[in-house]
Amino acid sequence: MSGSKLIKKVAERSLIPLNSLLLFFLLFEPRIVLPGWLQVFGRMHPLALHFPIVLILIYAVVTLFFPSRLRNEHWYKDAIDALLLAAAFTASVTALMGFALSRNEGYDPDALLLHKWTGVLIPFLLYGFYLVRNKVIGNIHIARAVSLFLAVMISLAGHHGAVITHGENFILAPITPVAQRIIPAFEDAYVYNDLVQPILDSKCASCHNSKKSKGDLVMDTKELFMKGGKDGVPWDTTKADLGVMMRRIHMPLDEKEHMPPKGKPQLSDDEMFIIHEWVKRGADFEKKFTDLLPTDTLYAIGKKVLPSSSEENYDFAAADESDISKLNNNNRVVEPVAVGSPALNVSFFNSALFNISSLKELGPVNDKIVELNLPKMAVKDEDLSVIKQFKNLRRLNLNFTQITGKTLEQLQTLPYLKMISLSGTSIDYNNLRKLQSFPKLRTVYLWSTPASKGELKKLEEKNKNINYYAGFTGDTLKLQLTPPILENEDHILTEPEELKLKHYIRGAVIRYTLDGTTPDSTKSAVYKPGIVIDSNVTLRAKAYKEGWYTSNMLEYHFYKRTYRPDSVQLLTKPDEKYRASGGRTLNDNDRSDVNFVSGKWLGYKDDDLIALMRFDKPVTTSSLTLSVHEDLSSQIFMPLRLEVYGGDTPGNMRLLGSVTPEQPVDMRTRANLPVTCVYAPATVKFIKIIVKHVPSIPKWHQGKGQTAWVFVDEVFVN
Amino acid sequence: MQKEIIEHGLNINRRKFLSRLSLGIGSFALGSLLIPDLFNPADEETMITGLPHFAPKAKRIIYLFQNGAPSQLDLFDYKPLLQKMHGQDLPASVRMGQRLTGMTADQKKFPMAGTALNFKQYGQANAWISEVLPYTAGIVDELCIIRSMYTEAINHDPALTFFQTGAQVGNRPSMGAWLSYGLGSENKNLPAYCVLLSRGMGNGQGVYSKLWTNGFLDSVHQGVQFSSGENPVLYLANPEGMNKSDRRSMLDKLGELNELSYKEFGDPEISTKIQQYEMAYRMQTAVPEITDMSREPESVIKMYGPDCLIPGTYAANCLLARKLSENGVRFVQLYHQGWDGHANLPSELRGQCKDTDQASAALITDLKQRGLLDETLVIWGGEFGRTNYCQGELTKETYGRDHHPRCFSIWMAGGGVKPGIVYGETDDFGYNIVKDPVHVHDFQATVLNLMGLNHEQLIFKHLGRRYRLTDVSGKVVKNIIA
Repeated sequence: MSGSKLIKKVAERSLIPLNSLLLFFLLFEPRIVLPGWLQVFGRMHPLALHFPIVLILIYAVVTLFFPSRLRNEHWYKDAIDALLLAAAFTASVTALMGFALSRNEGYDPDALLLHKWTGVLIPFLLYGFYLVRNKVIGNIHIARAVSLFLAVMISLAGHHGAVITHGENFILAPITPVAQRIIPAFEDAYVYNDLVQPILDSKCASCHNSKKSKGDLVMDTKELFMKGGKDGVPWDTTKADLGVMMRRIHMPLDEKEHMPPKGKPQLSDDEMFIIHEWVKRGADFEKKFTDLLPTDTLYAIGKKVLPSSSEENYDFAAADESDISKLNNNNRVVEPVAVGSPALNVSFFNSALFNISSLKELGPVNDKIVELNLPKMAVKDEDLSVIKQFKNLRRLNLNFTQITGKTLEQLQTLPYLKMISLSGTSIDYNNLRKLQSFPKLRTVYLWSTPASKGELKKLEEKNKNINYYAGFTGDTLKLQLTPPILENEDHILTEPEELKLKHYIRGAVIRYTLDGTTPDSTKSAVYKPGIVIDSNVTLRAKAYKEGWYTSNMLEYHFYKRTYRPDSVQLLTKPDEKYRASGGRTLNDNDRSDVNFVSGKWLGYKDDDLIALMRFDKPVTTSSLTLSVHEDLSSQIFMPLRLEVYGGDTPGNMRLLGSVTPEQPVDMRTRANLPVTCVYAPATVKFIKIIVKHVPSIPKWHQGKGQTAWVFVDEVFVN
Repeated sequence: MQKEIIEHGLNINRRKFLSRLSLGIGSFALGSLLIPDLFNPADEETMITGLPHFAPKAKRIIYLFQNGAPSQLDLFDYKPLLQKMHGQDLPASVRMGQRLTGMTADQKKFPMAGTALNFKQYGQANAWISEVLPYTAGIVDELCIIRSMYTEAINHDPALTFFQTGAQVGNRPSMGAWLSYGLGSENKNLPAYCVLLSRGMGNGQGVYSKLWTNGFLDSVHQGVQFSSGENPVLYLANPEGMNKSDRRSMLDKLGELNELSYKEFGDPEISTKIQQYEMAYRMQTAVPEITDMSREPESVIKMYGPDCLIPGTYAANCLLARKLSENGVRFVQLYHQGWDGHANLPSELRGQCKDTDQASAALITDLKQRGLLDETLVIWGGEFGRTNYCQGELTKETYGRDHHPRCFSIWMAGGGVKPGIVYGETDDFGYNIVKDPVHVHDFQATVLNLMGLNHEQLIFKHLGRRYRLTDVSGKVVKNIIA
């Protein structure tokens, strides 16, 4: 017999025993125990199955599409025979291997069932068809029907086999939209529902649900879970191993009782830990993470795994970029929360340009807006009907708008609103109560609104989920006013000037004196615009207001110069360091600030200041004022004495007057002060002044006994 | 450089590519399969600026910079051991060779100085706060106090530059400029980065525009310094005789001329100038509303203290900062000078705190009651700390402290930071950090992270090198993020 004929005979003859064996296995399945080497044979099922599939499909294609053309070929019949025989043989072998493989644990029973019955049908059908092939070879229609049927069956069997190995929806997975499980924020999450249950769902529920309950344990609902199954209640906190469920989870993998069963996806170490910790704490189904202590390990795990309330997973699609950019202008900013995020933030600026259409224009994207900022905008109660359409809104800022709260209940339909700020609005307690029933609201800001702190406390007690924040009121606080502010810039009056005093705090009253006395809250004059200063005066002013302490005093010296000398000559030399511009310093209207190193002061220490002023035209003078500097910590004191001499010639001068200024008895802040000498009017062409310095610093001062300095920057002759 | 090397390795150039066109394209494809980055360089040319990289926790920052370095040992870090060992020399085992400044390098001894101020514990974190910060103690449950900051710089200029720009050498962009570059301004009518200066009575050190410079970034990102006088923005109003529409048509014509100039010279500064003119025009409407303090209610004035109405004071700057921030300015930075307590520290500190404590605390409360605190990050701190040993004369009541880079304290509030915690610890001598050190780069990385930016991806290529705010280091401190 030729080789090919031998092969054909062997194949044909083997079909009976193979299919009988298959039938036998199927009939006595529960009692079959397979030895190890047969299991190896079984594992070649994924390899072998390719043969029957391809062979049947080729047969189907040939029979369905090319019968007429090929049927008349002389080799056609033999070819078809060989095809069918090979298909039948390989199908039987494959089915046997499949049977051996199916004895392994871990296959999804439903899928396995379907695969098995569609799968074993193939070898039987093929064998049967092979036997009667010669009878139907003439009738092409039967052949086609059978081939089509075979093709369909092998596809079904193959599909179910793939479901076992790759799961449902494997091919289309990349493009099917995944129904997202809404992951709640950590602050709202429950320990069981959001941390433990997802683990059980993925690793346990496929065998322990109401449709299929291995060991009679059903995990679908809390009650059924707690009831347990064949082995009793799943957990027992009084036991050391915490009950049967944890015992089985912690068993070594090879133990028969280990859960999940070998061959099925196993729990990771983290997942085992989580379930263990949950059971250890009493297997509570109601606890939220916020009920746990922050030091609790489950709290820390939950915090790591669950998003915080600011990181949300938004499950809506992004808006069109052109829509977003069209809505942006100088007063309205619409932008995504981050790169690639579908959520939008909207902020408004410049209240003058706002009106309700600015909100309505957001229509095309209004379901993508998660934050809406409208502070100081003219938003009215009726405008809330527009806002309530922004169904994904999380944060809403309505500070200083015209909202009264009359229509606040309209916002109740917003399912995600968690923060609302109503500071500076006129919303009162009655309208605030509408917020209590908002589903996700957590924080409300209410500074500067009619509601009192007591009313807010009442609201918080009724609904512990919402925090009402009232902010600072300060009604009982009493502070000191700042001193009044003088707007006049120049101390030296060249012409009469209006006194300009002001205070930043609205309603503050300024009282002042010009005679050097301290202002008094009842007796001193109240400042009003229109007061003119015309001569050397010392201004002192204080500010007063109801509910505030009186301010510190403002002190300011005005200087006037009626006569300007045509020349000033210094008869004694000032100290090297403080020479300024010589005699001219006293005449140049350039006053210094309270800094003795400004370069504008004449400083004398070892000598007295003696200066001679010449007037080309005689002047009638009755007073003379010096502008001096006092800086006690730098040992610069007021002059000991000022003497004024006048005459028509330098050689012929007589004493006009002198003054001994009052010396300080304690340290005080440095200042520029006037020293004025008044005398009987005299008409003179020359004036000489002698400014004596304090020769010995008084003993209360740190530098007692030393010579003091005297600093002068201007002389005013009036 | 990487790209060039790869290209050379693949031996691609135009001639070769064209000569083996069919094979060439295939090898390109193979190349991209082998080296994924070949056609997709993570380059700044493709980096999207203007949006956060991921959902931010804070949208704006107010940075209260205490210039001169406030003494942490007298404000936030209570060390009773120093009081016990008052006057004793600092052990070398503690000092471990820390370099000294020129001011104390000649000191033979380093007598330790215990604080002369009383400390008490406050809030849910039991934070130690000294008596000169009563208002800060009142809001301590909003603060995250970091006691383990450290830097390498020991003098003011390098330390300030390091804090603001990420490097001790100058010429790099400041933090605000990076944020302006990365996120832009929320309100188009105001600059993205504003700077307000104030001066206390204590020993002051200078601040200068290098600290808010744009560095090598576009000059649009430079910090806009507001003046400390009556008019924070000078020459804001139109001059007599010119009205708004005149101004607008003038700007339009000026813009046309500048465009011509730009086409001819291509200098990017011209385009910046055009933008600045337009920004100034928009500021004319936006700024007066913000700087007008006269309509602030009395409760606000009482909360900040009446100083808040006197322009140029720290309190006024805090109030102005809140107003700028609530109107969308991305980064408002205050500098308050006078904390450099080399001598007479306790009394200087009292004066400084009197100027700043109430207003800083009021700012937090003000933001919170408007619902803005959880999207505004407020930072308070200096450029380094102060030594636990005395500089100069030491008495029981008064002492001075020198610069100390190894540990100092700052606080942060709002904007995604965990409230009511104290992070990090120093040793009992208050000299070294023992737990959770936070380097300046870590701080910068964390700040950028809170604003939704990955500090390693906010880069700019300049002179052949990619720069970022955190230079080459910096790790986000996750434990202080809520």
